[in-house]
Amino acid sequence: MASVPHDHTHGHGHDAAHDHDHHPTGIMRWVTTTNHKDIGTMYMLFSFVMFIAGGIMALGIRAELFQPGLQVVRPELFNQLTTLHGIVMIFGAIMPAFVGFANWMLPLQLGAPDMAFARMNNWSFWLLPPAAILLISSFFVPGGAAAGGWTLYPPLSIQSGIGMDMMIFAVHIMGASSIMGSINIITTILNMRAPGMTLMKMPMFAWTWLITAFLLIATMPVLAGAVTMLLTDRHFGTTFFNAAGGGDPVMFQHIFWFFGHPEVYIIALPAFGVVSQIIPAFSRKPLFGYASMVYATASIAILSFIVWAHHMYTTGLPVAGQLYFMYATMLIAVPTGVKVFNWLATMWRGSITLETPMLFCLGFLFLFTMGGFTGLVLSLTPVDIQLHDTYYVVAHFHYVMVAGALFSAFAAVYYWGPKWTGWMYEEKLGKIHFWWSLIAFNVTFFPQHFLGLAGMPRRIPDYNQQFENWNMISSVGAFAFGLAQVFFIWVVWRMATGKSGIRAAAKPWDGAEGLEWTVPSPAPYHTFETPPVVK
Amino acid sequence: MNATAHQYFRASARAAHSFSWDHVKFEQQHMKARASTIYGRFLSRLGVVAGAPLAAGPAAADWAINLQQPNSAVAQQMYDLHILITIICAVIFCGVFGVMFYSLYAHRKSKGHKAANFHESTTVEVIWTVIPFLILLGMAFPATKAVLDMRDSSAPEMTVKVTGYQWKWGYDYIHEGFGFMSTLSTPLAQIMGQEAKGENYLLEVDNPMVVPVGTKVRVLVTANDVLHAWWVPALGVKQDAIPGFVRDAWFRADRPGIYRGNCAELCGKEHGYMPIVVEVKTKADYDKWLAAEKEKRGLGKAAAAATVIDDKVYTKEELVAHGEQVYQSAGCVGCHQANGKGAGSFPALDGSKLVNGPKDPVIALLLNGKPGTAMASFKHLSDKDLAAVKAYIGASWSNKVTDLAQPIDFTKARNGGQLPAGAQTSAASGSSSGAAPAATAEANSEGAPRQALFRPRQ
Amino acid sequence: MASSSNTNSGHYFVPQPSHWPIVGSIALLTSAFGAVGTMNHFGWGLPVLLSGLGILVFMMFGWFGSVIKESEGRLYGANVDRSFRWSMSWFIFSEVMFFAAFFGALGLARLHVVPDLASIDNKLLWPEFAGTWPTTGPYIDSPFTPMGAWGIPAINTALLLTSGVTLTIAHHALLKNERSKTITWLAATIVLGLVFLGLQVYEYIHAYSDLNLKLTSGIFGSTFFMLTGFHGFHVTVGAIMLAVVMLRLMRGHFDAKHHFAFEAAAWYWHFVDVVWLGLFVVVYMM
Ligand code: HEA
Ligand code: HEA
Ligand code: HEC
Ligand code: CUA
Ligand SMILES: [Cu+2]
Repeated sequence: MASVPHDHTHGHGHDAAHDHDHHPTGIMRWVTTTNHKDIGTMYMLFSFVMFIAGGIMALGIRAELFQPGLQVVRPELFNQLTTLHGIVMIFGAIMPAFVGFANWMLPLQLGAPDMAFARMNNWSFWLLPPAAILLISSFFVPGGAAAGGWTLYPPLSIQSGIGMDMMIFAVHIMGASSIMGSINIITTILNMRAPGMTLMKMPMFAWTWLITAFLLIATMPVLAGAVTMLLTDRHFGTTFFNAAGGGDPVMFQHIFWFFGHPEVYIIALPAFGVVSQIIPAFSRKPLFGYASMVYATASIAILSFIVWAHHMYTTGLPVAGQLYFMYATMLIAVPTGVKVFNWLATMWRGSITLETPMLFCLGFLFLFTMGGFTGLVLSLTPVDIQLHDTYYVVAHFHYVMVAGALFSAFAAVYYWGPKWTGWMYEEKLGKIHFWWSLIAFNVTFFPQHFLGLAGMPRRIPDYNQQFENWNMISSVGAFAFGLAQVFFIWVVWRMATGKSGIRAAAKPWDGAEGLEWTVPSPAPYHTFETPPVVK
Repeated sequence: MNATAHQYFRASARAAHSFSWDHVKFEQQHMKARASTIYGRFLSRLGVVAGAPLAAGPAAADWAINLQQPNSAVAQQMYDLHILITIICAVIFCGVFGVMFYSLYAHRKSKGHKAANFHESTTVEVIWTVIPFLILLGMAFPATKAVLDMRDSSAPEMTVKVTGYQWKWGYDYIHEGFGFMSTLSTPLAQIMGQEAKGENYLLEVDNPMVVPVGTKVRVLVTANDVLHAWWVPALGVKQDAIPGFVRDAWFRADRPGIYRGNCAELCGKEHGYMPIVVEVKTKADYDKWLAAEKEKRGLGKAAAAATVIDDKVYTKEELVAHGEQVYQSAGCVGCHQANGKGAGSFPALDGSKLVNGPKDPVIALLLNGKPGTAMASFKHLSDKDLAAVKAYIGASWSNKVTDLAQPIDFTKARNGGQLPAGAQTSAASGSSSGAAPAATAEANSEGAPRQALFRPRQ
Repeated sequence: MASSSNTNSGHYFVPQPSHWPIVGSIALLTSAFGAVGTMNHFGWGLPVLLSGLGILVFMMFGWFGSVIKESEGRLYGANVDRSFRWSMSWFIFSEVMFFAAFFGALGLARLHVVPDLASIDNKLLWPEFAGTWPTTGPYIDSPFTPMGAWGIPAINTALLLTSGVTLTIAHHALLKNERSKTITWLAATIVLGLVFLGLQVYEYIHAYSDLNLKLTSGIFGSTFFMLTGFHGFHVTVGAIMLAVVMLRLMRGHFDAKHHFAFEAAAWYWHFVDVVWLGLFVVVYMM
């Protein structure tokens, strides 16, 4: 979709390594590339394809839940859809999208010629398609895809068939990809900043990614360990998660959520970074409280390691455990609040315009905070006893992940898209996409709070008629939200192919700041081969 | 999706639930006919929104937007805490976004607002760190109190052991010496849309758990195969059922009535179909119920405490006749089909080498299930039921098994080839040969959680 | 942190397009399918798995070959060198976290799960379970003798500690450009590593045949073999890394200034060492 940058027009002095510049062309160019922009583009395309795949599964779920009774899918396929929807969206759509932005933008923002390890960067990306192949093809093996939920809890996941093995190996491969990608990002940020760019002068997006990459390196191996234990429990007779052998199914939950909770901030933090770039640009005012934003982000990351058992209140933790995890979880509201307030203070007395990226950021702010508040409600153990594994939780995490991460990804595409493609999107279409998404999103997910409160469990294909009304509304919203994304494809298509007819200036946003706006749009294939000097 | 409907549901208690291919075809046509009306139904439902959004009366539950009406002190605390926190959050939310919208309105460029250039203030940072912290502290107090109450399961007045199975619940009144299974009773026809759905669609069971009102009931929750969660919203209890572990929770129901909930932890394909129904009775009614239950199981006042086993030798005909019922009611038919031909990944029993072979492997399979497949353990059935179903599958269709198993064979197999120490034979205790002795059933359900799944896998 | 400023002066080496990553991806995809097939007893599983691993080895030769060529071509400046140092450190950190998952499982099992299973709460299910450590758990009835700490494990500890010393001697020699001394001490390190591995194999055989201690021996067997097994695997990888470094030294690669590969392998070796000490204490001694 994104335009193919013009390879050979770059007017820069080659050094020895670049002299034999015989890049492969056609498909092999993309397969073998070591260019961060190519790789960033591929990440984004991949992520969008996965978003559609995961979205289609979500529509399968919503179609079945449109009314009580079994109409569209059978219960086991329903569970497979739920499981794969969760995994595909998190690992296939949201995470790669932000890695794609990091690939494209970090070298530009830091004044680096490329990522620190350009060849490994290629591998980080090209590990994802094999993982996707494993996941998607698992639908077609005997017994079907993994159906134990994206959380893969044993013993159910030990009981299930080949699809679970494929899921486990896919998780291993995606984990390897994430770890390599994160090492690359950390190294790039720590070692490849332009002269004069101190850590505390970095764009916020770089900061959030630095911290996110740390979270990834710290937690992905733990997930790898957890699924490895699942695998050996499944096939080699170990009893990590089996009481008969002195193990415990709940042990998996502890290990999983030690990964899983930081994971949700892995999703959220880069989104915070994007928002922290965009709000100042459209408020024409520098980010308020830069330093405290950095500290807040770091606090969120650190706290995220010590709150995991708030997903396990109903497992029968000791009372002291329930209380400790409740307090620790509640505490996360403080640094997150600091971020929200700083964003508001950035807008305060600015000179605000509401172009599409800004609209999506405001949508993010509004709805993410709402999701944060429902998270806070869930963090209270006694309330969570009622709400755990209900649609209230589903509503909570879609507010933070769809209206949070996904909306900020849309914002990033509108904000940086002109830099990538050299063309502006059409403002009117962008705004339609925003309002359409905003409304459809709320129609889909707001009623799910009610469903959860009234007692509808999650991960069920069928329910009592008392839940029918809100489910119908939710399903209609889901299809409308999906259509909005079809519309988005069209908007981006028109931008990427220049059909919008508006050329992008090097700096299309008058309030934007940063090195990325000092290079032409579209950004040349090679940038900053000689580092710029910052102040 | 060419799978047959009955692959997915145990035929449950009623023979009428067993379906065949014809039903599926019927269902498909039926669905086509229905499809055209769905849109209309949706619009008419929306009409309700426009008309009387939150009207009381029967429609109210359909538009429920809050937690269910609590029926215990703990549930009430949860309810109040939720309301309190939601209000606090809503107020903060309105405050914060009031500021944002004001700013969006007042500081617009199009209104000619020029950007200020402040971007730091330690004072405000401290303020908006400390104030939220204090608010959270305020929330933590009632929450802590609720946690402490909720977890105080000391001094229960009665104890029931609750076991999650794929996909049913077992209730053992451990001090009363009996227990039973509780299975979804909604007919498949309702699920498949061939019959109108009843009011308690998917929230009804054959044997509800029964407790007296105003009594502190401790539930010991465990599971037999995978994780489940025992959840009754109105009573404020949700406790994961973990195979191999017993976790406890408690409730004291304020008012008599019937309270419904669902399994709340994904447990496989029928996770949506294992409801929980708790019938809260007045103390007098509860005592009556208890007496009747004991009577039914031959646990009269003088009933022997020792394990009673059924060592009667039944004829093949007796067993096969009873086995046919078991084949229906225990759910074998759901997977292996009425014609014994199986379906999809469910193997045919008709002509099966295993079935037609010696009895011991079949006994082992029925007692232990086959880990990693849908073939679960059927250890919770009585020995007589098991012997009967074994005889039935051995004698039906083209099968001609001669190696008949008696209940006593199962009893022995459960005990590693021996009779349990101190057991009395049914002949000795004089219990009727018809129903499975209740004490055995109890012993079975005690032993039930230690099952195939716990076996190290080969 | 080597942070603040001016870290990116001069040109930074960016490699040419390369087909090795995609070869690696194909290798992992093939291996994954092969492993799934093998574990589910399909005849095609093992051959596919082996060919996947074969492709992976091929990829490593090719990829590392290019890295070595670039390194020897002196394409890596000081800046790239710093990147390598960061990346190796973070990679080792990720490995630490991988082991942390298994140490965590062991700790949780010993301190919480096993006592819990034996506690009054669970008497209903496991009336006879005593909850002593080591254990096969309440249901598996296959008694074993745990591995004593003061036999082979203690010898292995000594071996690995010594190998850390020999490796450091080799490094100091390299810093003084004493190539043959470096090679000798490096060789000694590798030999110590190999002896360690040999003893561990012997220990496993002993465990299986004499002690009845198996992977399937409940939670003790699970954690014991998974922890020591993954450690052994890391020793193997470390030994291969050292061997490659040694071969390169023999071919005249590296000098007192440029030898990051040596250091990376050494860091890795020390990391493996430290993990072993942790293992020795919590798996064998406690
Ligand atoms: C992007 C992802 C993301 C984010 C950012 C969050 C953020 C939070 N989450 Fe969420 N969560 C998920 C993704 C996420 N979550 C997912 C995927 C699950 C389900 C997993 C599964 O089971 O499948 C889940 C589940 C989940 C649970 C378990 C529910 C259950 O299964 O029973 C809990 C319980 O504590 C919880 C809590 C929180 C809290 C307290 C926050 C906090 O970080 C929120 C903090 C933000 C605010 C509070 C708003 C802004 C603050 C202010 C304006 C300051 C003023 C506020 C006050 C003083 C109150 N989450
Ligand atoms: C970031 C992650 C992410 C994202 C973006 C989404 C997006 C969506 N999710 Fe999400 N969801 C999860 C993460 C995510 N989800 C997770 C982790 C779970 C838990 C899984 C588990 O329980 O294990 C979950 C579970 C979950 C459930 C609960 C399932 C259950 O408990 O059984 C539901 C139900 O409504 C749902 C719905 C949706 C919908 C409607 C969208 C929509 O936003 C999707 C919109 C996108 C599209 C629709 C695709 C794009 C458009 C097209 C393909 C064109 C064609 C469309 C039309 C013609 C209409 N999700
Ligand atoms: C939920 C589905 C399900 C139910 C209910 C079920 N089975 Fe099975 N059964 C299976 C599956 C699946 C297998 C195949 C297991 C395997 O892969 O070996 C099986 C295998 C068997 C076999 C072995 C067949 C052979 O040739 O190997 C017998 C005998 C059997 N079941 C009897 C029964 C009886 C009797 C009942 C009822 C008391 C029953 N099953 C209930 C799913 C089920
Ligand atoms: Cu049982 Cu879900
Ligand atoms: Cu969490």
